[in-house]
Amino acid sequence: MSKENSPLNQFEIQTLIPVNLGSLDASFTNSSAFMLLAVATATALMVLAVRPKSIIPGRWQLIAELAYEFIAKMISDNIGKEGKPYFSFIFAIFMFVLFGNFLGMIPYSFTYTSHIAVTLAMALVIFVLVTVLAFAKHGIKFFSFFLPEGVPIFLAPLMIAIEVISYFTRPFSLSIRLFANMMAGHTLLKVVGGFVFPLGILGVVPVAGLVAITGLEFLIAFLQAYIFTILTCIYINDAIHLH
Amino acid sequence: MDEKKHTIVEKNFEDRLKYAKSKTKHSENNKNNEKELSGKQLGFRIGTELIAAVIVGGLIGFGLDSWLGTRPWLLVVFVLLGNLAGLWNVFRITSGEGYKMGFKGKNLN
Repeated sequence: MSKENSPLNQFEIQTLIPVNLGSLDASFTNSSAFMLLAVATATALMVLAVRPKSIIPGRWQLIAELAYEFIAKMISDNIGKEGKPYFSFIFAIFMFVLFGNFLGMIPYSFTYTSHIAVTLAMALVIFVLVTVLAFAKHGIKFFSFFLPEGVPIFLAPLMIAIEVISYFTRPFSLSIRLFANMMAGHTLLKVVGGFVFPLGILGVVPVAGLVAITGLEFLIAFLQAYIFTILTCIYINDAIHLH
Repeated sequence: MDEKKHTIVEKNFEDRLKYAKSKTKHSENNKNNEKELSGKQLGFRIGTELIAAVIVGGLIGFGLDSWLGTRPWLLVVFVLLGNLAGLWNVFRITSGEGYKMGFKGKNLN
């Protein structure tokens, strides 16, 4: 199979504008281009859609209001009143992941959420912010986080080690879930698509499969953005309330 | 006639306000309840949890080993601890504790 037809070819990073800061390769790539596009479309949607400011919303305004209310409800359900200051952060994360996933569903586009470099960077930012937040709110009491209540004292060293590891697991499980879902789905689409022409008239079977998988991919694109955001909410809730 | 109509509207508004208030109150009391996920999503979540914990344990062990020069003993210990942490997280997820750390918030619900 030639390189162009490989199902993994779609994940290749292509340098559009080479930028080198010393030994650091900070080139403007197709990944960065799609991130900019996602930010631009999300901003355009939110700014232009609510411009009419009508009491009875039009279609676009309805979309923007639904997105707003979706996140507002998620925050009040998972964090409560104290979560309101973090609305803009959580909303930005949701829109960035959602638009990354959905823009990736356009043929010939690039899905930046299918790269662990992107998702892990986002998860680490969330992780560091949540840890700093927990320290700022509770100070040294934050470390009580790592010792469950009612644990026998001779088990404490083991439990603390396990809790610390499980705390550091968070950014990894958060990023692996998003990246693996997106990458697996897009690879599957390409692989099934590769069966269409070699099978001749029987190619209608993989085409039917492709239609179904594309629908499923749209569901997963939304679901993964939702899960990424709700876990961010849960982490912030942990940091604020410190169980 | 006019007055009657006015009170009805007012009453309806009061009712609506009460309803809206009770709704927000409910959602505020109801925090920490995780949405039910489908089986596939739950399975995927548990899978990543197990893998990520082992990776983190391995990384911590490897880092400490190259720092303290005790290769390979800390790697072995921390991979095992990572396994335990992964299983611990899975137990927490399946017993409905979600991602809560340390089990302290049981009575919060």
